[in-house]
Amino acid sequence: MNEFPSSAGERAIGFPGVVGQVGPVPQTRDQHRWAFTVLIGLLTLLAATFEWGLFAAEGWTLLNLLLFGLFTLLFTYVAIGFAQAFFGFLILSDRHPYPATEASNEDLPLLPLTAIVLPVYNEDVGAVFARLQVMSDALKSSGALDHFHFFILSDSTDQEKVFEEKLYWGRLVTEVDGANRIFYRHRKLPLNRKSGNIADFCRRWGNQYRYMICLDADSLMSATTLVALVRRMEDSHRIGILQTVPQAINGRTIWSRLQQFSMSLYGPLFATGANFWQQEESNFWGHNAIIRLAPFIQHCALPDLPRRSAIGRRPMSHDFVEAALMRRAGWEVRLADDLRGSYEETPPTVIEHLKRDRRWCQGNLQHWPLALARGFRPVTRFHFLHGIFSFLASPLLALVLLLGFLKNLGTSPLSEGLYADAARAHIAILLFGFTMLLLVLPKFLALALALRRGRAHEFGGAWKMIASALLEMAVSILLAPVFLYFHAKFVLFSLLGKNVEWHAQRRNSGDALDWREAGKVFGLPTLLGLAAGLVTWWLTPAYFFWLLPIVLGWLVVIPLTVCIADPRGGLQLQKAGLFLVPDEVAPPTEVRALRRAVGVRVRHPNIDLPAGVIDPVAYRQSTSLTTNERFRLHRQVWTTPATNLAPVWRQELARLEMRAVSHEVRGEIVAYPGRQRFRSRQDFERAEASE
Amino acid sequence: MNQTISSHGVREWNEAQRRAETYLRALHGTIGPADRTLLVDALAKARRLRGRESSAHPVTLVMESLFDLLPPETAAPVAMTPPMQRVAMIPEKTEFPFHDAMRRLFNLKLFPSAGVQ
Repeated sequence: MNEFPSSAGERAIGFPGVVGQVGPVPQTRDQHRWAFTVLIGLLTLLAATFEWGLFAAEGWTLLNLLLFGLFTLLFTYVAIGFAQAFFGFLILSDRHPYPATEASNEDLPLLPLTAIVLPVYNEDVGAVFARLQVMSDALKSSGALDHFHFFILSDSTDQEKVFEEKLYWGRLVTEVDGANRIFYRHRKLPLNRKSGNIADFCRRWGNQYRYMICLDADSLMSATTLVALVRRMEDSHRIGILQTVPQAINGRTIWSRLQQFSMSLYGPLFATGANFWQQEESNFWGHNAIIRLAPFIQHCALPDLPRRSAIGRRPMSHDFVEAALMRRAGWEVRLADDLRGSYEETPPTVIEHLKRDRRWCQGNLQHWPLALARGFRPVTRFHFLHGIFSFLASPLLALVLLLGFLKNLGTSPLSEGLYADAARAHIAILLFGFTMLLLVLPKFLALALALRRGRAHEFGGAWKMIASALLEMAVSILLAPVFLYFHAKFVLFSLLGKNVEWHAQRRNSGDALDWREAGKVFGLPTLLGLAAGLVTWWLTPAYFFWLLPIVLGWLVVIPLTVCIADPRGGLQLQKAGLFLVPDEVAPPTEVRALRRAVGVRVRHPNIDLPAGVIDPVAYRQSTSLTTNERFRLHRQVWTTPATNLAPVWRQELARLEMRAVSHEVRGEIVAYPGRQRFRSRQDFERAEASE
Repeated sequence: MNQTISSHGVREWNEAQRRAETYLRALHGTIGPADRTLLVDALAKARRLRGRESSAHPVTLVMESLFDLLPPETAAPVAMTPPMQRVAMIPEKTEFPFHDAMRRLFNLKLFPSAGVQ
């Protein structure tokens, strides 16, 4: 086993190798945390006072006590989100969300070699390599290419995907002259999923690099940002993990465009607000971040969770745990909320979004033992508990709804309303309004900020930005009950030990969601909405109106999800100037390059099996790329006349020939002695006679 | 001769030429001087072979000739990964006092051990 070359240097300059050696705490940090806590406390106290007034008048029954406790807990969660956005708003009122980044290249030769790692699992191979090529080209243009190595870390189980990956790797290496700079590794046994994949890289090659930039299969980062991340790590040797805030791009369906709009408009508020109080105790989101490898390898191997449990022993959401371990070892985890040029893609449909939530749900619930484990810092425990509560809130809210229904069974008829006296009814409406205000006010603050800072044109203009935000809010309100239903189900399933399968995410939006699939997934919530509506109308008519927003969401879920999963609808809205984002209105170089690459891919689809077999580059490049059968098949296809070939091969050859013809059309006429196109039998006979 | 022409005539030889050009273009991206020489040699060799294997299709003859003439890949194969320098990445001890205490308190054995601690 070799020692880290970098760790000796890091020890020499007095940086932590042991627990508890942290740098001086910034003076403002405690003040920020106090302000954050006080605001949350005040808001929760205010809401709890309203609620207390309601229940105290009714008398403190067990049901009321339970409802009071649950409401206060849920409201605290809402208040945390609001407080982050509020402080983010205050900070961003004085500065641009993305100040210009440094552009000097004088120190480039001093930058250490950094590994850019890209774990893949049965992904759309063409898209993954298109992004990789864009990043490689961007680094080359910036002159920083020599300071970065790329690693494609494949855990793919589909053998055709593995073949495609090797083929694309071979082509990319040839096209960008990436030998000994772009690497590919496939694990036959994908142990411990993504975290195991990264750990495997660390064990094999981790000690050859000081930093690792961790990407996801749909990640894209600009050269400026990649270099800026390394620079910042070099400037501050206390940082163990530096996380960027990725912006969503390339959304085609209405759902993905809606998400990228909200991430672009509201995201900076929440990220800046989180940074305001977290500072050096921020979190790791698993991708689009730079990691100092020496402490990561030394301290961040994932521990087993205590004993066997229904939710599994190996942490699935590894990122939170790795950040926690890094903090425990005394290193900083920071959020670079001021860096642009970090991108990801969002799920194209609500179903894909829910699939991802299912994995995250089980992963976050697993953090419960870690939240109480020894040695972690209070903010780390908060991160764990906040992550757990982001999913646990749904079953708790469902419980509140159920208890509310039970409480109102047999109460006064519709004419008297939910509360018998007008004063209490007013308090109830006030409380509801206050909660809603905290939920939607951050969005209006973000709108106000964009208008005030003159950023509306980045979202298509003031009116279109406002219209997009209102539409987004409407869809979010309608879909909130759907997420409530599924998150509650996920929590229940996870606790019952029903395992989450690790499916590859469908990241592109090529196929719209069909009615049948939507009906299959959302049929039960629709029936639930119908039943809940009928039962509450019949038994507790006063409660019906309180439940109506939720019932409505369940009832419209099928048509709504089908409608917003349509790429054509997304395109129409884009043309109408709705849900535009800054990276679309004025796309940066790398986003433009990616679009071009994706456009080429649409015209020339992925290398599939036949294309892979006849590819001469793959055939001649390396025996490690292809199997013997493919080699034989390759030769066989090329030496067989078209009439004797199966249509699939004929088609593939025709595609290559078309490319050759296009070369000729462009004037690249091939002339060599003996080359001739025989136009007639006489031509041929003349040629025969002349030989 | 007539047999050859009638069974493998104009169209077939055109197809064979096109196939060889397509192959080289797919291999090198374009057709350079070396490729032209290769094509000439492959066509000449195929015509010579035709006399001996009169039943073989020109596509087969030309492509087989081309495969024989193509120089073997002399450059060292591109390394898929850099050389390994293994390091250990072992989890540090993490204690769960709350869970341990709860287990001791209630002696919970909800999930029987699978023999692995």
